[in-house]
Amino acid sequence: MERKAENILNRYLKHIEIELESLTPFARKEIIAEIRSHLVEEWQSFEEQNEENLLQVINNFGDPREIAADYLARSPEEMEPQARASYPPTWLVLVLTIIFWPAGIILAWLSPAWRTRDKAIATLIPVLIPGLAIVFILAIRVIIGAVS
Amino acid sequence: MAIPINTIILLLFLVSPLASAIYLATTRKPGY
Repeated sequence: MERKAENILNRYLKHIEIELESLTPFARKEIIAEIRSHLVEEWQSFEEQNEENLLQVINNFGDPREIAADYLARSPEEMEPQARASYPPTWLVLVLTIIFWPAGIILAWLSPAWRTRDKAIATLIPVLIPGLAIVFILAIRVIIGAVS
Repeated sequence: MAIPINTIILLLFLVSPLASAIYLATTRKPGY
């Protein structure tokens, strides 16, 4: 494949891969390889392979976000066994988060069951809640001190 | 008698992992 065409294809696949961030690396690779081979096959059905018809194939295939959403909507049971076996069960993550927070949150980060944004929020909650309480209490003390 | 501030902060530290777990439970993706 010509270098420029390869770049176009890689950029498109990268967009999809970014949208699939919540899946395991194995599952992501599988999906991207599957899409790549499908797109290349379509492209090779043209008499002449150039950038224009590659872009046409990509446009016909669809928006990266929609493609990724379709894959994400599939239940884990439909995915390859290797993709499912490698993440900790959700119940275990939740129980550990309550009884031993550091272990629970590490497992949550290893699991594809949550988006990165939600994992970050769950990690920050135990820091932010007491932190904000301390700031609030200190602020009240300062105000009371200033008044009296 | 007012509850000491240290106790309030300690309680918040103890309760916040529960808040973290509740957040995770409500935001997990369908099918997991």
